[in-house]
Amino acid sequence: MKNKKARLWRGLTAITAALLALLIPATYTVNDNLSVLNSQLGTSSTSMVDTGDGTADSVYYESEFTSVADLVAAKNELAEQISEEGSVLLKNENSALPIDKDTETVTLWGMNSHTPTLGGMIGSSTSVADSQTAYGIEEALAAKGFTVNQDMIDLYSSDAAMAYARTGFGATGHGLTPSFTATYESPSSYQVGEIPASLYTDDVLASADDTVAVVVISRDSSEAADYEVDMVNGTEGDSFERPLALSDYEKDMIELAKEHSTKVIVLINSDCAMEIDELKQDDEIDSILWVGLPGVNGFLGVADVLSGDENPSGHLSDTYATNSASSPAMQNFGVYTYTNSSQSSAGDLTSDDKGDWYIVETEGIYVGYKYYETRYEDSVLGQGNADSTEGSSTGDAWSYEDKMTYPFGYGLSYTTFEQTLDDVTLEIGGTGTATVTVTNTGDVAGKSVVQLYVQTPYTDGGVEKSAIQLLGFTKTDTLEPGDSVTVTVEFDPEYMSSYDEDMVKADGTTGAWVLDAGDYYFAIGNGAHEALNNVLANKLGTTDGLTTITDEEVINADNAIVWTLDTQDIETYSENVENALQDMDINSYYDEDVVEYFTRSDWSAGWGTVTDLTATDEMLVGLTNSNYELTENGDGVTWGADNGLTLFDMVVINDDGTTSALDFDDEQWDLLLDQITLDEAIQFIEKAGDDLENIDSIVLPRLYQNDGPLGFTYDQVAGYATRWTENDSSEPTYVSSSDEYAAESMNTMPTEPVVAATFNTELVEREGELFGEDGLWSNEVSLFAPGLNLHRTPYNARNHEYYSEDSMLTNIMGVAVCTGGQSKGMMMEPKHLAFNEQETNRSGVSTFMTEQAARENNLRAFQGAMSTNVADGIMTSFNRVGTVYSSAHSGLMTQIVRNEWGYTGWLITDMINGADYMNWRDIVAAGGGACLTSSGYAGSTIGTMAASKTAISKDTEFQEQMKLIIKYYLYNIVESSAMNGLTADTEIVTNLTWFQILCYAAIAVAAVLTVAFAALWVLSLRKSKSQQDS
Amino acid sequence: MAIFANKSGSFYTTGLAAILTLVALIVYNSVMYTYTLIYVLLVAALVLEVLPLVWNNAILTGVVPVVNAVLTGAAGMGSAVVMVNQIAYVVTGLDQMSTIVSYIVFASVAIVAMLVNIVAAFLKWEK
Repeated sequence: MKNKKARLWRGLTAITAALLALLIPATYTVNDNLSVLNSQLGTSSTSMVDTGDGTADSVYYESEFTSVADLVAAKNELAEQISEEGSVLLKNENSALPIDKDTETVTLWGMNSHTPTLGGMIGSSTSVADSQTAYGIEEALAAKGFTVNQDMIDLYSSDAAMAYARTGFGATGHGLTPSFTATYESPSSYQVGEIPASLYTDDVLASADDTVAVVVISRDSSEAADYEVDMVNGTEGDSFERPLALSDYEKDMIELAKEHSTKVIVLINSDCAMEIDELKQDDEIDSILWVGLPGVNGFLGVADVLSGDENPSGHLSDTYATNSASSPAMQNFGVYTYTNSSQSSAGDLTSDDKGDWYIVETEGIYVGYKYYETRYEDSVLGQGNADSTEGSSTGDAWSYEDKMTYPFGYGLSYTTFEQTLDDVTLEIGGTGTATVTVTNTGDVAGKSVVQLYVQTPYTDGGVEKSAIQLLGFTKTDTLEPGDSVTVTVEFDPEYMSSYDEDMVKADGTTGAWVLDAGDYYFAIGNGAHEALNNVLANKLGTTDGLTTITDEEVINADNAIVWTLDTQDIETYSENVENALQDMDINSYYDEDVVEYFTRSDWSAGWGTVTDLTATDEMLVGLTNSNYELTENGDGVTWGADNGLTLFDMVVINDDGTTSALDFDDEQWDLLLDQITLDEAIQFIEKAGDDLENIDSIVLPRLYQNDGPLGFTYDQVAGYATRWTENDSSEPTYVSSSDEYAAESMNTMPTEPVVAATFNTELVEREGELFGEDGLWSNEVSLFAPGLNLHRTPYNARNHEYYSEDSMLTNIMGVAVCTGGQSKGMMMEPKHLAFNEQETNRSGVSTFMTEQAARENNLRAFQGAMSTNVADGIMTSFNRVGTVYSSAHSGLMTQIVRNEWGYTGWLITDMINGADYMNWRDIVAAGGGACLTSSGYAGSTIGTMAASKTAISKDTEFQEQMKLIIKYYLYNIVESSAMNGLTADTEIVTNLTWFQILCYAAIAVAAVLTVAFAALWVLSLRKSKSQQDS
Repeated sequence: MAIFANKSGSFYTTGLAAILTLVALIVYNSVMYTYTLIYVLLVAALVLEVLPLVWNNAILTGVVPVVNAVLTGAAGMGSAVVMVNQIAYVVTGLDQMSTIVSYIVFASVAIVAMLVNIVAAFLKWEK
């Protein structure tokens, strides 16, 4: 082409055509992610229009606050109170605590006093706006009027010291590195972040003389990370035996603190139970206060505890073992890969399957205190080889004294209390009540926690039973010295039952909740160990041979009451129950048992680590996914009917003005669901990201759902104004972008272990209410909280998002926070159902255990909130249940959740992080709910749901499941604050956002220019050709 | 060599675009989430870039730079459709940068290939 003009036009055509080629997919991507962009840019693609006369009252969930400022103040105050009541005093020699603020100067010791951990990373981060203060211990002590040694603070602030600080993943106070990707090797290092003793100059040390040492020992937490026993210390020059044990630099620092201080108080700033027996045994350590990860306000509460303005009343929500690596659960924790994984030459699995790993929870029901206390009883009674050397970290016979530092439920106060178990009454199939008298026998006002435990009858070789288990608890109001009060602990006798996988019921089905005939011992105590000692003293008639491990423990046989069941009961709590998780037993896949589970019949057995498993053909079915194939079946499903209904027609207005839903079986629901188009249904299910798709045909507006357990995380919802648009300005809780609190972070509460340690359900319910208030003021309807998984081991670095090692403490806390949130119209959506007790390879790891362990531990934690339906939604877990992805496991998602528990909330996956194993076909077919993604399936092998629309439209069973999934959501959303602003006359109007208009305009301009330039190019060529011809 | 005889800028830039497209194609294999359509676009672009180099057809050499600019541009941007979630995870700190490095390299090479094709459209094929 020698025509210059033609080349010019061709070049310009190329530019505009290329621009068009960029703009079209870009616009597609914009439209495909419209919900995310809207949420980030504060725009909306729909608006709600009231076509009535505008007089209808449309506020069903009203705020108790008149301004967002009042709400923020209330939240900050509650967060502080939770830390006050959730801090656990473990040791207090010579009344070293409280500190007299007026006469004593505090020296903060430890680099991590300067860079403490406040929360986790990702889902429970503690990011806040620049205008907010995230209180570390330094800031909190300053705010509360302590006199603090500035020289030491200056040392820790210096460049030389900061070179050692934990700054993992760009966050100060974090040494963990989260990873969303698959791993075949355990994480190798953890940075403690302590400085060497050599950095302490003589002048700095002299400045600490005659001051009170407050030493901060810290271990951080994170989603997508775990600790490993074999980690090395990433801090240069420092080392430790295990990451949760004290490091050499920490020990050196404590020695210096002891040398230069009048008294030494240690704060444990960790949600992962640390190994601190040497601090307990050290006479020069006066006090130990566990504070956990207290969030951005919690250290203010800790400061009040230190000063005595508040009396500590928290109790440990986890066992503090001397060496937590020697527990049964730790024998199988971490990375275990099938021999025929995608990394092998077998070719059975691919990386897309995400099925390479497994974990076998051989410990059965013996997690946390259920192991230590049960083995303790057996050692006292001389049964089950309890004193064998297996599990003993000393090499000698196993001894409770050697293993335990502070037991589950333990905690001290600045005063003393006497508790007397007066009475226990219960009715099987009904309720139970324990009556307890509490007297403040000390000289300081304070609150007392009453913990009620039960021991159920155990037969050697029978169903496994924990020697002691928490059943319920309550907390007194503040009692003045000498005051006495009688309180009751209500409990559900259902939670005394054990699951027997082999029991055949009257209807012929196998698997039952069993109450064995025999003596049931109800006991109270300052923790599980004291309660068990009370049981043993009552049972044996003597305290001889019983072990106490703290000076404060008291053994009182009268604080245990016997209740006898004459006949075994297998039916009362077994309605609709049958085995549903037999495929979680790894032994079920092989001709001979490959795993020995722990049993109290023989404590010397079960200690092996399960390695080198080969996935059998049966296992590969689950591991290779996509088990459900769409077929042509049934008579079809009605979509897109014109029945003249809207979602609001399903609403029943309660007497108090809030909303309820029409009965779940009301036929109106079917008529409403018939109106939805198949396209809408597909979009709703496969794009149930943080922004749920609107369904115009039934006037369901676009709604939001976000993390997490500390409140709406700032990384996802950057302030109260984020979800509002100007269209909403008439709402009574509207927060404009110019509001002082527009960018205020809402994730300001302490982490869950601290909340659990309060043992105060009133506080926790109040926390739920304030989460609900946050929803009203931020236009958010659903909160992915609380986390209800268990602390199977202290090494799970995500323990900060879960309450406890104990299923009942978790169960009760879950009910309380969800009840509070639901009362404000918030859809509370606990996570992660189920068995997500390690983060390493959580995306796809096969999880094996006995069905009894699954039901009594992990699932019992969820059961309270789900069976009472105070949880409106549930986020499922990334891991597999047995070999099947959790949301695709019909035994869990349908049999247990729906048939047994009667759960009517909805289900949603975790973020689609492996579109093939978390595939929509298996999820929908199993009743596993909607898929948390906006476009996660575009790159999957089976493709998007939308692309399979034709095949879906022929599969009646599949479409009926789709309808059911949506119905569960609608059933719950009409009982939420999402109804605020809606009336029977509301219509949804769709509109283009400014950025969509910009995209379309750019496409139009580029298209016009392309055509024009192309025309000029062709004309130029023709002209050139005609000139050549002539 | 006869193939280079009397050739001008458009010839060489098209050759360069072919190399870049080939690189993009290879890199795309290592991207975390891929999309079959992108392979189609890249292979089509590669064929159209190589074809006029070996078959000197006036219509072909005239149209190829424009078509290829479109194909490589569409491949570069279209690949984002399945990667946008992953990019968001990295931007928000949910995942590590290493998971999208190969995508960034691919998209960059594809866009450079598009620009080279645009340059080719302004130049002569033969002297």
